[in-house]
Amino acid sequence: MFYIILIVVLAVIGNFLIRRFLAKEKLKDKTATVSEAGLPELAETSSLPLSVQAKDIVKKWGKPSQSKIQIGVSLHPRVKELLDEFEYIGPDNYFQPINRSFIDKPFSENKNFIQIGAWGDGSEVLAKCDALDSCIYLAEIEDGDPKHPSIIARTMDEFLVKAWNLNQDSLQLRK
Amino acid sequence: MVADRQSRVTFLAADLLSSAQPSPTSSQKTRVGGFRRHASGRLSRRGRGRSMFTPGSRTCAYKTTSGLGKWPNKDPMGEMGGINLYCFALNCPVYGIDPLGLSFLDDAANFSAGVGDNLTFGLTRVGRKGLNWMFSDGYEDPGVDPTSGSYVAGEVTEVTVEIAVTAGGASLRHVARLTVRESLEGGARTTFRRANSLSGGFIHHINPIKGHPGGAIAKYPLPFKWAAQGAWNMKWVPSRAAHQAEHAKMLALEAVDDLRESTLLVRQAANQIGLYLDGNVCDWSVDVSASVKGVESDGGGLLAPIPETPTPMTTIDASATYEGSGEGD
Repeated sequence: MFYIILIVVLAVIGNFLIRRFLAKEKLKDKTATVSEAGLPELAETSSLPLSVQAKDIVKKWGKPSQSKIQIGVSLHPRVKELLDEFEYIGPDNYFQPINRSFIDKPFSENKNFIQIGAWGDGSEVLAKCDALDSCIYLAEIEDGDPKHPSIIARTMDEFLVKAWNLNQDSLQLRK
Repeated sequence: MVADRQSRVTFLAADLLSSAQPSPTSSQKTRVGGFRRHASGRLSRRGRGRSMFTPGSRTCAYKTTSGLGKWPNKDPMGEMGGINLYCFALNCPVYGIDPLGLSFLDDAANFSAGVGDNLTFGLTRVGRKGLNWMFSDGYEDPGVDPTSGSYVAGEVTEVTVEIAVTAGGASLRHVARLTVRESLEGGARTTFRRANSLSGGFIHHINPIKGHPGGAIAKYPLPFKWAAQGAWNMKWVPSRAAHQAEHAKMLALEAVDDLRESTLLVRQAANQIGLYLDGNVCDWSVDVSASVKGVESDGGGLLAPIPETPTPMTTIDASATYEGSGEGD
């Protein structure tokens, strides 16, 4: 009988400790990835140096467009300029970080943003419907909250360089 | 059973005689199965080598003073352990051993019962009892000995594995928190697209590298390059909704694992309490006696044979006197 009582007591104490540990772990997980104020964070990207210029990337990857695009929302002038000039900016059909065809579809998770391209994994590349906001956002599913997209680059040019670096990484892996 | 043993012994004796003794009509050198036999009755070296199952052959047996070969490793219990004397070694006494004199199958059964009972609050034991009640006799678990070393080993193994899995998950989450996804992946998902000609849609990691929608770290993430870059871990999904559904599946599995993790010790305790109650406090055995068409069953479970024509109940005359010697016949 003493053995049973001992086991029950140990089980209750042990489970209490396990539950406390798990609760702490969950709290840590949440604080590790979501910012306190729910503001977007700068997404981590490739650590390769910015060895290329955005204008070279646009020249190499851009497919010129015949007509200007009609957008019902206000966007940052640099974003608008590239969307007007090019059908898409990307190395091939599989990776097009800027593509004006996405603009037809509004971003369903957050109406303050508009999709302007797709990242390598398929995540939406977004621009804020605000002429003063030069940041480019990424609606990551796996590590982020699509309702609060994270900033992938502070400017369009920086974004293009990151896209270039990602593509270089991809080509290296293919070899 | 006795008849079986006698016939078996008779068979063995006849077999020994026919194979080990030369036929009186045979010449000094004759052939058995194509091999030469000496006058002594022993087969030639070549014959001994080929004829494995001939009693007297020394291929797998040792030679006794009587000149007859005997198989090694016979069950020391003799026929008390069953008519097959080599069953304990799975009929292979040359390779199979049982140094502790225990039955391998019994040990395995007890071990797996210990693992199962500990995992399921002892519900598997209840299931075994139920099966025994249905197909045999009595609401009990005669096939498993909870006091045996293998049963306890099963319990200990189960708890140890669970603790190791829990600790492993915590370690993986710790590593995942310190890891940057992009540094693991590089352009792996773009590479996967190109290799499989996939445009549009999303590339989903089947085993999460870091986390789930909303930013929560996965319960068992794989924050390593081999998982982040391996094509085996990638899957194309057509839409954001499909991608989220994949993660929802994973989260449901994690919820089940949460239940496992948080009831680890309670399950262990529940099993121990069940065993204690079985042995000490309550008699759980159910005496089921059914009366079918006037025939009372002996409580032998569902498979007890029911006679087609009901036998009338015997009336016992209490006034009758028994005239016997008192020694049962």
